[in-house]
Amino acid sequence: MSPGGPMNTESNIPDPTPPADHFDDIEQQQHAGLLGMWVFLLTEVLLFGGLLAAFVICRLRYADAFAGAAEHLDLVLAAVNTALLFTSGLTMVLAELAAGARRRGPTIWWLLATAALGTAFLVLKGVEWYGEYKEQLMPVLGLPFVYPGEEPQLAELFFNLYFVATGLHAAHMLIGLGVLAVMLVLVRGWRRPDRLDRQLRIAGLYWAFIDVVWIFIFTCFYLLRA
Amino acid sequence: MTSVAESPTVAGEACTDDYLSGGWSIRSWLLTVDHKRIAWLYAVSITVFFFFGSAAALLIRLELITPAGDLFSAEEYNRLFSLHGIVMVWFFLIPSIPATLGNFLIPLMVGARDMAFPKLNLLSWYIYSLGGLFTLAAVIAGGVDTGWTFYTPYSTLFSNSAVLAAAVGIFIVGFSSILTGLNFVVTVHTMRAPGLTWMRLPLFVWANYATALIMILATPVLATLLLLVGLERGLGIGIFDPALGGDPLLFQHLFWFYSHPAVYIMILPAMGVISEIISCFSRNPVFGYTGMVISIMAITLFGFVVWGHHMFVSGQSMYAGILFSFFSFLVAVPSAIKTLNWTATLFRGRISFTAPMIYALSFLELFTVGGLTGIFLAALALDVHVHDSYFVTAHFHYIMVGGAVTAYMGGLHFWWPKLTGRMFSRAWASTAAVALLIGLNLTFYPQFLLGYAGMPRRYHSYPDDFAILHVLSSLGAGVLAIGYLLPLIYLSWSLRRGEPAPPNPWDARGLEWQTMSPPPVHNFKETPVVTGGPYEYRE
Amino acid sequence: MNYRSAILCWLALLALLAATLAAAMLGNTALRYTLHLSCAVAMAALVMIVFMRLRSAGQMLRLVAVAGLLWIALLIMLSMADVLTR
Repeated sequence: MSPGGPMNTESNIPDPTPPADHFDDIEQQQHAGLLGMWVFLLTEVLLFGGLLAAFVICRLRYADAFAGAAEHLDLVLAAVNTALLFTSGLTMVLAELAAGARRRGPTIWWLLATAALGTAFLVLKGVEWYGEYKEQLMPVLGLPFVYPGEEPQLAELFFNLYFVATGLHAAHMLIGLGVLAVMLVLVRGWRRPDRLDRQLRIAGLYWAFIDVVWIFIFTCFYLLRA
Repeated sequence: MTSVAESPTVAGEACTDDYLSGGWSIRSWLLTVDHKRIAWLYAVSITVFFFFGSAAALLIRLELITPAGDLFSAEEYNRLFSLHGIVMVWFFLIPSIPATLGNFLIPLMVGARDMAFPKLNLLSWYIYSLGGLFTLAAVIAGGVDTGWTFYTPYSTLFSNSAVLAAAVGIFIVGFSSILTGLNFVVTVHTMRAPGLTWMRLPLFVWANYATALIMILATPVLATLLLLVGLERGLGIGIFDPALGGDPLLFQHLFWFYSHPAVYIMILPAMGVISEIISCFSRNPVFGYTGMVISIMAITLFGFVVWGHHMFVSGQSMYAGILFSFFSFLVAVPSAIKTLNWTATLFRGRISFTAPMIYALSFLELFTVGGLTGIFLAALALDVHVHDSYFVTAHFHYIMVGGAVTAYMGGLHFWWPKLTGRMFSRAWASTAAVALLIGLNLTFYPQFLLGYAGMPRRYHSYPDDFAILHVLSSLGAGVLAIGYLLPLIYLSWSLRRGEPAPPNPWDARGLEWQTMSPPPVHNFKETPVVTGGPYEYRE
Repeated sequence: MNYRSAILCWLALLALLAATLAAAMLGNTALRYTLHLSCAVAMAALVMIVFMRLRSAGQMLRLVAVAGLLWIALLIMLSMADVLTR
């Protein structure tokens, strides 16, 4: 639960949920849950880390070609998407705060807003990918790759890395949306609000983490242009 | 341990609520969330994989008895050693000690009722089995000829074998490893019994904790790598293909960023087992406990910065080679500290040569030979000569089989009374342990000589001059097979006929010995309170 | 953690996004790349400290958060040691 905070709690709070069998008390259980999620996110960081390392090495070796290829990405759409993700991060925190204050209605609404913003991000991403497909800049599944600039082979490498990175990120967004859907169902039921509060905090960590990954994808692929 | 507040209420009491009394139905095993039963699920699975891998090894040694490549074609031989490597590394060695002994013992050793995430623990086994069977099917039915390393561009552009399927299986198994590591870390951090401070943890727990850290920090990079290989092979996304501007050496960097630390995933838990056994059977506290802990963590850290020593002759820059060579020498220091500390633990001890102790002393010999030859290989110039020769094969088999598997066998015998509540035949166990020591040295020592004389790895035929050493090595493999088959027989026999084990048959001090054998479902009747260290063998 | 710090953090994130976009106008200068990278690090840090509550979290969670970045740095730096001196 969030420390302090003069928030108003609704009356007749049910009995606190007992800890699972193998834990001594609820603090131990919550600590284990949070640490588990952070350690899991650590593995996710390194999952993207391998890709990032590949990109950084190529970016330094083929600086001009990569900077040129980055020009062909849509910076405006990506910037809008970044703003969308930041906003969804905010709404997720607001949902957590509402749950911490034991207010069911606002929790549901903020969660819905988060899911809507996340979906909007994916839709925009799809639009962007479709644009690249149209311009024949999508060298996957044997699709033709027609690059107007210099050094088309290196540009192809750039787009390969770009599609792997953004694809993997989009897959994580989908998982995040799935988590949000589950949380929405649970919050609608509103049994054991104290447990929901703890679960929401853990779900929120995952959602915020997707933001962090996107910040680096955005900076590396879109901003480092000629 | 002078530790447990509640003296064992166990001695005379019949084991009515031990974890095995919950029934033997399929359901009670396949849906269990008890870490002790999950450890058994793992033990059975890795044994199956071990015998597939060993069968392939025996066939390899059969082929190599004669200089001509008569038993198998070159192509078949490639598939055989790939099967051996893939199965042994990913489906036996990586999960061996952590997933079985670690899974069983860590909650007992930290005085907890279970792992922090019991369901995740079971899920981890299912993922392991799924990925393992998938890969095994791919490797046996389809055949994979790339070796266990999947080097590009051979694996992505040229190999006409089931690389994609095998990679998918290993990708899946990686998640099992990650989840096990996550569970260990969170358990050790949050579930320790009152009074059990970090510096009172048994070295086995420290070693498995360090292993878990490596699993968490290294395995995801392997996942990325296999994803990229899969995409390159399946969708033509060329990250490693030089024709598309990709870099094949990038593959090796990412691969060894996982696979070198993976060597420590295999050997660190083995070191943990050895510390427990040597201390118990020499009736001495582990010499230099703090130094041992620091060494474990130093190996964990340095293990991550030495990967380039696998790439000395692959076209890596010479300066990077010097850097990696330096770090590789450095990682030998904590390993040497550990070996010397074990020896010092024996000093003036009351040593009893039980089967676990014979395994542990064998480990000392084998690990020392394997470790010292590792220093040869870390030297840039010498490595150019013996790279990709039998010298390398012998070196890592001394560590992996001589070190990790011997320690696994030692640990299995040491904790067998706790695992099953039965005693095994001491005479047979000692025989098997000695057979293993002889077999290992006879199999792998000739390979050092072969490699130094110029015999390369991965060939199914060789000049006649090498015949004697190869025959010796194959002979050793036969002895080795006896050393592995014997325990399978007498340990299985002890499950039904062995005499019941008391709670603490070795008079050991660890927390796990303070509860019944086999332990109750929730490990301890009451949460123990710890007041001392794990190795108080002297008053 | 309260509404005020959450909203302030969100505004700061948007400001940093604007700053890094503005920096893209600077042409091919070292300053520009420095700005891009520092903005990225600042944004990531803000999300982790405020949205992921590292500010009120224990030492252990902070250590885990830092470890991930350190290990990526290790991977990249040592690989670069090869690539750049080849």
